[in-house]
Amino acid sequence: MSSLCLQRLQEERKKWRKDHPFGFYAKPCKKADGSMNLQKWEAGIPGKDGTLWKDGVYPVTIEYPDDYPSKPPKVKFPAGFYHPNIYPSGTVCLSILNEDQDWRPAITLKQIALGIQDLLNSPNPDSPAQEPAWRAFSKNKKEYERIVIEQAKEYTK
Amino acid sequence: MNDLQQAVHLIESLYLPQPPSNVNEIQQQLQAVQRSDHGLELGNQLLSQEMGSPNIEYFGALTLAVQFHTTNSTEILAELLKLNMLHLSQRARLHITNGRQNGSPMLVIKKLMSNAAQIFFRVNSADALNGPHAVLEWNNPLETFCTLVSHPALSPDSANEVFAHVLSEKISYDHLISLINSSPDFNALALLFSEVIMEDLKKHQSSKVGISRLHGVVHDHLYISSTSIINYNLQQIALAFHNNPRERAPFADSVFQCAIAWVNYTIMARSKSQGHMDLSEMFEILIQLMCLHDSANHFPFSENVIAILGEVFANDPTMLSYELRSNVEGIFLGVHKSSDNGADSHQWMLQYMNHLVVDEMYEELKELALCVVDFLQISNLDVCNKLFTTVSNGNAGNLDQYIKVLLQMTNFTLTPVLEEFFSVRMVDFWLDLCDGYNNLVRDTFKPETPELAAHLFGQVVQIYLPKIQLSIKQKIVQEGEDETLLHEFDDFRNAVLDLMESMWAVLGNEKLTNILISSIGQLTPSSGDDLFQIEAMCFCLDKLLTDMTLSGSPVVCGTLEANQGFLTNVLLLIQTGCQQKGASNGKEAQILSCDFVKTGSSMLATAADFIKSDSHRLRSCMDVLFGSLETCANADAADSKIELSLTRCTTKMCETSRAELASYLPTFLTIQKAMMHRSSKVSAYTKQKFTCCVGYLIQDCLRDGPARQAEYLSRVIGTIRNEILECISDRDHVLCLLHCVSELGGALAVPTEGADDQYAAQLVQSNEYWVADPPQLRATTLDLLERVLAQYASDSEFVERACLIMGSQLAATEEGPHFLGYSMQELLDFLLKRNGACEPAVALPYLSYLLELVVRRYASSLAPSDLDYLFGEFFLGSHRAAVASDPDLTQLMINFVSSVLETRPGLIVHGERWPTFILPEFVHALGVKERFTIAAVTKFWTKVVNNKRFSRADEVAVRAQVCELGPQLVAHTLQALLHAQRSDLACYSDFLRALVARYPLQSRQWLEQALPELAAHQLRAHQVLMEKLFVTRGSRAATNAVLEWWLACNGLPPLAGATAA
Repeated sequence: MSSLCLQRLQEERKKWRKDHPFGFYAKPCKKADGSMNLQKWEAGIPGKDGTLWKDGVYPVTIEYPDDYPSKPPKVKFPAGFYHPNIYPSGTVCLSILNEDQDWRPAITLKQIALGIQDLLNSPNPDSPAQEPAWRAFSKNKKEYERIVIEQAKEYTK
Repeated sequence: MNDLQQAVHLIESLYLPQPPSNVNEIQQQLQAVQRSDHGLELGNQLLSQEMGSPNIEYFGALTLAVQFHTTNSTEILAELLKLNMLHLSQRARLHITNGRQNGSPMLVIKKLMSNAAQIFFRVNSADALNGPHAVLEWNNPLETFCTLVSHPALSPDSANEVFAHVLSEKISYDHLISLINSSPDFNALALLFSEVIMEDLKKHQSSKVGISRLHGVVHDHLYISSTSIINYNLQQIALAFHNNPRERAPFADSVFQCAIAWVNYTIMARSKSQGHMDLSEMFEILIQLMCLHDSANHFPFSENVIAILGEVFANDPTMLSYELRSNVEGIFLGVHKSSDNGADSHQWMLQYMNHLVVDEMYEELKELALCVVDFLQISNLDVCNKLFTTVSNGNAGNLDQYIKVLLQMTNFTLTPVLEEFFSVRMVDFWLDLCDGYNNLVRDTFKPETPELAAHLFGQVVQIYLPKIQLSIKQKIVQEGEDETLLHEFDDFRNAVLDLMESMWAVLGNEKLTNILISSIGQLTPSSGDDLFQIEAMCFCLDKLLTDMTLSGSPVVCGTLEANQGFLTNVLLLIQTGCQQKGASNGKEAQILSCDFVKTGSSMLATAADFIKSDSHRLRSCMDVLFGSLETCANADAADSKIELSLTRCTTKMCETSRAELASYLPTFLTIQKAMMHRSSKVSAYTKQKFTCCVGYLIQDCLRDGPARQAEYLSRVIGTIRNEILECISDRDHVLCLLHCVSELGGALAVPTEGADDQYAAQLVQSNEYWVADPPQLRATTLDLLERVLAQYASDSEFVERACLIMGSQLAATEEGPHFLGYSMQELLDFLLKRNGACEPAVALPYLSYLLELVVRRYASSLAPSDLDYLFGEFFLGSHRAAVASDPDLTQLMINFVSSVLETRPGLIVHGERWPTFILPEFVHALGVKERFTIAAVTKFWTKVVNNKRFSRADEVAVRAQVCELGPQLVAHTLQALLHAQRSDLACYSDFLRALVARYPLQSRQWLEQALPELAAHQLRAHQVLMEKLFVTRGSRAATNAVLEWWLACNGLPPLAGATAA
């Protein structure tokens, strides 16, 4: 890991601990020896109140590449997570996480977390990443809503 | 519009209490003039109006700003600079001479200052060096301002002459100080101007790049004059306090605002500019001011300075020199970790904190906490090394005292979150210290280090446990505070959990887990406070045990065993929560009830492995869970939340303790039967999960032979069947009951772990039993599904559920006996029957899912002719038109064929449909536009050209077919590729890569033939594509080659660094 990457991740950790939106959590994973792995974080994204997602806190892993912040982190939900813009592997398809699109080195963990929370209830049907959720969202809203509510129960707050 | 009076009239009309109806039109008219060549003149005239109203003056200043943003001419910029500074200085002189009453409003002066700042930035930006404004040089707006304001001969007539010299004029320190001393208003305006420039520069920074030259000019000029003014003023504040402690210097606020603007700018600019801007002198005086207080405990400047220092410590603590930080350490803590220097000024800290506490100034106390803890974190690593290693030798006595102070600070006596934030913020400090300790190289430890660390972090645990108790939450609710504080408290509790996890690495089970268990177990709750203690400890313990395998931790299990009261107290949390959850007990009780039940039930679920080892223990838990669930009726949000927590816990207990809960099965069945009634008030989720629980227990009955399983299953299915048939018209209820059947089917799957000899011996017998199915459960279930579908055949949710139930055994990870283990014939009969009556768009996706499972499981029993038949029935026949017209159904069909290619390709490639329908139709399908259909069809063709599951005969047959179809296949692929979206290119390139690798000679010819026909003018691009495709191996490289070709053919710019095609 480059010193720039390390420095920035330490900064992100400090910032997050000092100021993060309510209901979210994010922390670096521990290595087997108990030391901290700053390049891999586990985080939780709560569904926004007043939405289908409100009852859950959805776990994600955030992996920072060696050349972060030049390159964006990779954010993954559990495999099979039901959402039109989440790939079957769990990888999030979001423009701010794509280096060819809107990623900028100044984007913070807080912005990423809030961006993902926003994505949960505002999927982008023009950028489908998985078939079942995309199809249901586009063609059968009732079914989509039912599965989202069921999924929220699996990740109850 | 050339009449000034008309313009004035229109402007005034904009600000009327009731603007005219054509306000938009007026605005557009005025904006057009502002942007026009007359804008400069208009702005000047509006600002020159002798008796102009503030609105007119402000509009004039705004017009100059519009001109600045629209012009690119040096002459206009120079003119703007002159006019703006002259109007600014004239107004400043008036303000100084006549006071605020008769001069322009401050709003106009600030706007002119902001205009000046913008001009200053442009003149000194990097672009300006080589751009049209290179002739202008303006280094120090503040000195220009002071010179103009103090100029004896400034008048409209002399303006040009004066201005010609003033831009480059320098002012000595003494002269500058004498000028600001000449009038308090002069001083205030100079400070304001400096502040406005800094504030605007910060905003300017975020939108521009390459402004290091500007930072350089600021460093060389403005920094010197501004800090001179600020430092002088700070000294004057101190002097004024000493002369009259009771009266705060009237200019103090202006000075602090200017100082904080400079500090913020310096924090930002330090990393971006080469010049070092040292604010040490300013900080030194600020720290002196912070500590000033009178005999009546009046602290006039402490809050201001703490706000400034807080910014510094949070963002760039190294702005303070080591000496200054050492000074601050003494003030904040009264002790230095590395020297014996006295710290008399700590007295101030104690008095200030006392003042804030006594006067209940909790916001100010929070600011102080943020500042102090940020400061402490600067030297966290140093503290860690000094405390625990031999690397750095500190004074042991001082260090002990230092830690003692930190512990005291953590153990602040007020209520966390509501009144104090020291304990909240100190979590971060201890977490860093703990992580620091865990990361230290063990060889560097002092001999006493492990003991010291355990002692220290043990104290931290003891401090935090009472601070995260729900009694604090209760207090917050009682105080009627908004939800923000509740959220902050929840965050605080979660932060302490993280700290506990880190401290576990130091303290281990012996000094943390076991202590928590015994503490919970030894409490005999006689009051709410005791319960709060139990909850807080359970909350932490649950986190520690979650990642632990209890069955592999005999010591922890031993401790749990030895503390009989542990489980009783955990159960008490659940019981209390359920007793108090009623809405009549108020919001406070409901909030706490949810937390009690959540913590208690989560703890039970985590300890399930331990609980199951003793039947008495297990019985106590289940009795409480049943009793508590009984109280739930989905009455309100709290009730539903509690029901959900209890249901999850019950499900976990049943999954873990299948064998141990065998004797409970009759009770479970009774409760489950009651839940199945339409009148039951429990949620659909609970009904389903409870049926799943029943399923877990029945699954384990396999040990006693399948007949016992059958007996119980018949009861469950019978109950559900009766209920469904009774309420068949209640859609939601029927659907929920079908969910229950599929939960039951899922729970009956043979678990992957935990099989013992007795269990394994029953598998064969059980298999035979369920094939014969004496109780006719398969038939009963099938009949039930048919009856339901007779009513709801066009409801996709019912078809989906029915298919899931039918495929229960096929979808299980492990093969094994299952009461829903339908034979191939039964499944196909069901599918064909449903298929005959279905609306394809509604039902075909689910039927196809089940059909795929059937083909996968029974592939060896099927022949190509069978598959031909099935393919014809489901995708051709009566559904042909629907499948052809709906891309989703087309894709479904392609996916089905691909799944057969992945399972047993011979089944499909040797069928009649393959050459007559599948191959030709799927070539045409390459041109579809929907992303997932593109992915499906390209995946199909990739499997056709490269399939490891092909037998020799399959390979020979398919190879001949591909060779024959090749030109057409490649032409269609390239055609589709050319018109595809950029994000879909990878699908096609994966197929092309496979084709080129498997058919190198043929595919070259096909490509050479197809490419020129597609885009005759892009021969070079075609050549590059061919060259690259035939040498690349990786998927990414192939995608890049295809992308370059696609960009070239679509007339788009090539990739950066790519070879021009």
